[in-house]
Amino acid sequence: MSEGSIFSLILGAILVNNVIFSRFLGICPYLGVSKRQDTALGMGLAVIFVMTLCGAITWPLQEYVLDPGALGPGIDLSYLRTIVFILVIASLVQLVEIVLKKTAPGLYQALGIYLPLITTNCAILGIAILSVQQKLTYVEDIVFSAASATGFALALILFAGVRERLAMRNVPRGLAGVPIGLITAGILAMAFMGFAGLGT
Amino acid sequence: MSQLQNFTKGLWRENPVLRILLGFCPTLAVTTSAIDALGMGAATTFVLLGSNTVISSIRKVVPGQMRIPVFIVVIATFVTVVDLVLQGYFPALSKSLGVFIPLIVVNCIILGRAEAFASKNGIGSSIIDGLGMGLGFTLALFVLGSVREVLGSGSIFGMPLFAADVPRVLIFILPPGAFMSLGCMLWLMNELDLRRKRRV
Amino acid sequence: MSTEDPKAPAEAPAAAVAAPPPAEAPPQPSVEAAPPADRPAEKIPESGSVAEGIKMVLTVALFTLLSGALLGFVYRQAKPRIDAAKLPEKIAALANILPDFDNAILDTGRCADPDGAPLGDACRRTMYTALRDGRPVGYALETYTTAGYGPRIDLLIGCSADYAVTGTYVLSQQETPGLGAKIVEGHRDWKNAAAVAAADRPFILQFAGKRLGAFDFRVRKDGGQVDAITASTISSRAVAGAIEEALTLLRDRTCDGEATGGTP
Repeated sequence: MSEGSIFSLILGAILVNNVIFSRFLGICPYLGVSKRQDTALGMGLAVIFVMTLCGAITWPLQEYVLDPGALGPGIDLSYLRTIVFILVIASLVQLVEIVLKKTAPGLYQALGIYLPLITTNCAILGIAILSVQQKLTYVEDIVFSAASATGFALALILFAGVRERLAMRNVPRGLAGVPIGLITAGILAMAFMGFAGLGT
Repeated sequence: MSQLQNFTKGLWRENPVLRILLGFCPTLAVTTSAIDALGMGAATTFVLLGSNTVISSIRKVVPGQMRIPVFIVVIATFVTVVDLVLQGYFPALSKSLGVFIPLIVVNCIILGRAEAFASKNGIGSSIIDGLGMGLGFTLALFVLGSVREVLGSGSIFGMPLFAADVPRVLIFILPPGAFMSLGCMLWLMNELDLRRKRRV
Repeated sequence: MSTEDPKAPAEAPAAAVAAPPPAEAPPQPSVEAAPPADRPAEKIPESGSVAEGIKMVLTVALFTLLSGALLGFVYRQAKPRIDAAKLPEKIAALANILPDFDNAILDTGRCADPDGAPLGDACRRTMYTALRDGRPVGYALETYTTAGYGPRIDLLIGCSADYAVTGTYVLSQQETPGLGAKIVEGHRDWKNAAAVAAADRPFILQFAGKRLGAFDFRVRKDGGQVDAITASTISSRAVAGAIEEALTLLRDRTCDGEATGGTP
């Protein structure tokens, strides 16, 4: 794979096919953890960390265990993908939490509280499945996971900036909170549509 | 609470999408047409019914600390069954719902009902709860899907409603339209609620 | 995934794996209620003791085993249907995008990947040879492109024995509905492509009869000859590029004497 296409893979995953604005993955944490910019940053970093790690683990699992014929001729475990991936993600998050706590208390302080929320972040499972479906190579898979997560973090931080200002404005009662948040997200999504065509 | 109330709460008062604000990812992603919305609703309802039934029946066997991973395994099993059945018998639907079928496993509604209801109640009530919540989810998706299809593609269930030269509001089937229509729908729900409270 | 802290609220272990929705709480759920992710678990669950851990792993393993067995059964039942569901579309599509042939075309499939991988799920591009009376009349390539607006477009591209496009069929795509998704329009109409007036000819049919060298497979915006779908240059560019790549690959794979005949 040439440098050019790696670059377009990155641009595509961050901007063109943004996890939030174009793929609709991870909307819950997107709306939930976007009230303040510092928490948005923490969540964004935690997702980048876990999603990249997850891409690095699920690819070999798919390639060497789940793919038809990977364990030997006639053995086809492809139907176990959903169950295996979700268990791997759940355990991975636990493991990361334990390891971080023991080895990097500073980082744990910063990211720790976001980790438990990540298992249900459907972006993690979604990107893991999408990248094995695209039959990327190992390096591409890791790059794709990291770039997608960066796209998530970018969307989250941008949105938090808008919401911090929105919180100080007068919004009709029925529209306050999530409804105006969704409409704001719609406007951001429209802006992101402008990236279509980049990198291709 | 009577069984009737148990059933209807999911449809309106505790509608998982419109009132509890869960499961936004599929709600936004697969509502470009009424038929996709119904398909997703049916798939989710099936998983919800299955997981509620099984989890309610094993609730006394599985010790507290282990229940979440076990729940995830149970849910993932039903999701995979749905995935395989759709691939085999409804290939077109399976194609258009794509990655959001395996992602039912991380739909907060399902784990939410398992944790909040099925793990504490009998099988009968859990089945009714699952059915009500599933239909409530389907209802929300169907309304949103119909609105978006009519405005964005000028059709309903794929049948054209207007002459070909009547312009369509394309934005409604694009990502920004998804966010905005859901935002407006929640706004409407809030206004109705506020009005009812004022009257009381 | 376990919590040792006796004071941890009942929902702590839940939050550890999956933040539970507030569904159990509010009898008067209000829309202002934040989604579950908004309430980070206040207590980080402690890691369990070794015995606890082993017990837990065993329980989960037992359930996973049960589920695996059940799914294996369902999969075995559904597999023929899944394969069958995919087949007719492909055969019909191949008949549509190739000159008339009389062989069992799916049996001619072989992997056309540049790295020479064997046929199988690792193979990214499969080529088929259409024969009539034992002579090749055309070739088809099952390929894909990731250059579109969506993550991936899967295509079947057919050409005659002298490498002129006879058809393309979109097996799956996730381009923008109403815009890039127009690449599918007309992809079943190759047999009467000539009858369609140029003015309302769908995008895909413009490639009928086009050859490498004689046609510039870039969109007009890039200096080529392809009329892009309005407001969907990316999808158009991706499909045109895939067709050009497929023609090149089919020519390279059949010209070197690997397959019978077919030298242009």
